[in-house]
Amino acid sequence: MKSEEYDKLRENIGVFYNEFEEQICEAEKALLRLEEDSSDQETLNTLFRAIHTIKGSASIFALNDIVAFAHAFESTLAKVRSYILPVNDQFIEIAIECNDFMRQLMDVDQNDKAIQQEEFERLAQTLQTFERNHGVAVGDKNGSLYSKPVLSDSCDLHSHHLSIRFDPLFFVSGYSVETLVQQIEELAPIDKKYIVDELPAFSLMDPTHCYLGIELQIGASADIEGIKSLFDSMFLADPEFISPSDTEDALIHLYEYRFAELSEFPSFLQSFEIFPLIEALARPVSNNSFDAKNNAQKELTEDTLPGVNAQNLKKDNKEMIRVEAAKLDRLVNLVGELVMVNSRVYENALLHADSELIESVDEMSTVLDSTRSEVMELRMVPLEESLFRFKRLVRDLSKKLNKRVNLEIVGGDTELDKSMMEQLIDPLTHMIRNAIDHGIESEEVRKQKNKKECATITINAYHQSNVIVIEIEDDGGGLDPERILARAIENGLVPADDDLSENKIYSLIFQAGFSTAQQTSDVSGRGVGMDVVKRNIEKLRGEVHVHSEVNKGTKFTITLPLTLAIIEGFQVKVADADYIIPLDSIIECVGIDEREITSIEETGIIHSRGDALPVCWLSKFLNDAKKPMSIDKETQCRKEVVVVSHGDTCFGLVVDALLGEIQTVVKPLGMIFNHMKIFSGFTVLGAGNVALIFDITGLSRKINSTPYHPNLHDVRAQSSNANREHLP
Amino acid sequence: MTASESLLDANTNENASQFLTFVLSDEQYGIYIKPVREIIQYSLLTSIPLVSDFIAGVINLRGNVVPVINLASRLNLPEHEKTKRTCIVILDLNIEGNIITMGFIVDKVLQVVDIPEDNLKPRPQFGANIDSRFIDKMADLDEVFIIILKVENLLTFEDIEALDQINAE
Repeated sequence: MKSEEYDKLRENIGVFYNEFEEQICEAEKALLRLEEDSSDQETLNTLFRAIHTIKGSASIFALNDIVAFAHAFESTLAKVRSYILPVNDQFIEIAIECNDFMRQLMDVDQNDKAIQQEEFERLAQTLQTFERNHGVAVGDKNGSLYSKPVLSDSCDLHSHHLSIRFDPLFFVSGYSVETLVQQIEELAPIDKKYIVDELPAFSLMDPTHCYLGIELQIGASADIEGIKSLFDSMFLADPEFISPSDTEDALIHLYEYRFAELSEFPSFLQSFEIFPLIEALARPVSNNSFDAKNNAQKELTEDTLPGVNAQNLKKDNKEMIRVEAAKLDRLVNLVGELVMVNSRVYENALLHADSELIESVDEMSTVLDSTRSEVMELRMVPLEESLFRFKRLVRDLSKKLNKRVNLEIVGGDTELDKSMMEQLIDPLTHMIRNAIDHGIESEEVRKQKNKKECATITINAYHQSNVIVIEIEDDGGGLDPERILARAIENGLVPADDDLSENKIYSLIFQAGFSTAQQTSDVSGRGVGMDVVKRNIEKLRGEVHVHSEVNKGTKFTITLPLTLAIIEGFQVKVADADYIIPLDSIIECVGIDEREITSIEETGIIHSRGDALPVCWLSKFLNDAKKPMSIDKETQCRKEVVVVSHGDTCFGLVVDALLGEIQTVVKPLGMIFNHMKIFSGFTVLGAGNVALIFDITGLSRKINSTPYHPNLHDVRAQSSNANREHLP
Repeated sequence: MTASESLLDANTNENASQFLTFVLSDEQYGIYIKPVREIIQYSLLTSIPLVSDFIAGVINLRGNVVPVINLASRLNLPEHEKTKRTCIVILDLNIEGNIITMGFIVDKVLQVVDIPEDNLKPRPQFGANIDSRFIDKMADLDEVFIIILKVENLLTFEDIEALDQINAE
């Protein structure tokens, strides 16, 4: 294809791309299911439909490579579907490769055309070889797959088509095929005439039975009504008419009805122009043609035709609308605003003490509340959709590492915020990789240990009060606390003489620069793994814990908030500005006398229940050098400390005032402030002003990285009007 | 070029001739009208800790949190007291392909004027009171030359990255 043409098309291709991705995923899922159960006809149909849909929509966008490849792939699938080719491991292997290749074809930019061409030829060859190996003669009519006819989606017959099949007892009942054809010819000129035989095996053949069928192409001017009336009294002949005005469906129907059971497509059909369409729509029907009729009709009612979006029908006929995620975000935002405005109206109503007004505002609040929860629901997607990709991961990895692993997904219908799901993919991928690479033993070792040879990884998801829990459990070798400790000491993560509890030792694997794999592989073991996992999950305001038993397995438990869009926070005041501290990280609030703080500039230590608690003086910490601070020691000696926990450590944040709990809508920091690791977002408060939300993880890192200046304290002591500009 | 693009990328449109003029530190300046979304009265901003001085803070613009630049501080001009006429000009800026809504503070908004192409002169090599990278053109407005600001450069990725540096320290 010419590149300019391609560029032009690409502009409108977004819609297609989404559908393409969806169909490819659908096909992948189907393939993985087939691998488990090769006899599942419905799955095979789903696979076929997906590829067919891709071909159809790709042809609209003139993506000829994809159309040509999908066509080749589909032809093989059609034969598999008609039981001509078997569903075996080899088929699955090839089909997965083909499916992946189609995805590659879509990313034209990233791929070298020449390599793609080679790959195309190679896979097309593989498909043909596969067919040949299983006894199918490949009709390579034009030498190359590229020149295969591209389907047109409209039915452009220039003449009527009449397809007749006879009952086996046709002759015995005294009818004659020849007479019938003559009668038809009297009414209309027959352009082309073909006799189809459907002979059974010789041993089953009854010499008196009729095994014939005829296909007639009749001029467009023919008296079709007259011909139809011929059959009115002839019950043993079964005619099917297709006229030029008929739709594609009629052709499909004819095909289903007549030709699906044929192992090879009779060459005569090609001249009937409908051939390419028919060939593409191959589907299995039983061997007896009269049974086939019933079957085909049954299938047509139960199932939808190929090319029609059938998977939606399967899901309890739920009607789906595809909506851009950004639109949903805007809606969520607007509803959040509405809630804010509403609370302001309510306050005003109270101020006016107008009981009727208060009542109606009250009513509005109720409606708004349910609106908000509905809108929040919109963003939720079932975990299953995303977890399915891990089946593929597990499959590929277990093959690569020569281990037998089965992935089980429990609670796949648990719903999760879509954006959260997207950010979970990476950490989950990592954990599953780790489990297969390090956790699960090789088959021999498993045998020695008296364990099932096929290992199991279970992903279990469920709701628990107001969090979502995702557990990833394997039945592998488990973590070895001694090895972890040894490694941690070696890497200087813990002092050699430290006495750690088992759980503490396990949690060491989340520290940066930790990897116990003896050999690093390209699967995992570069030592950048688990700390990134932990950080990613904390970014989602979640937590991850690990529990392990030697020789029994390892279990990771991830807990996540229900949504990222709303946060339960605690509002505090620091230097006349409002800030929100996420409620789930707060342990307690204590009041202290400022003089209790052994201050070293921004951070200090206070005594809390006998322990030394490090605290961060937020007003100093957040204050820039540009604004000099003055602290009046006499009046402001009472301070509030919010004690927060981050992982296993606690620290206090010294604030000016506590304002109470608040449930707010989180707004992203945006590009300009995105680099600020100590905040996770903005929120708009009831009064309309903006407050920043602390990211406790980031804040803790930032405080820890703030250099310690022992001399600061002294300088500070000399001047009560401490100003960082004066400092070295 | 689509309509929205031309809206956001004022400087590539040679036929643009409408400008918004305003006063900042007793001097008159102008900007192309196209990226201007609205002008609102100055209200108290929420200041953001640990960022550059020229970021005045953020405002809540009908539910959207919009960053506001202190234009005087950005251009290294003396800052004036906020008055009733102090305004925030809200722009949709196209910064290297990303559309960012932001505002900047001016002392007083004057008018929207048509300036013919002939009256627009290239920026001088030197002599202006502000950094030349913020100057797009000079406009002859009734015999008075005013500076047309290059709004895209008020906030660039280098600045954002520079902020990053500050934060990383």
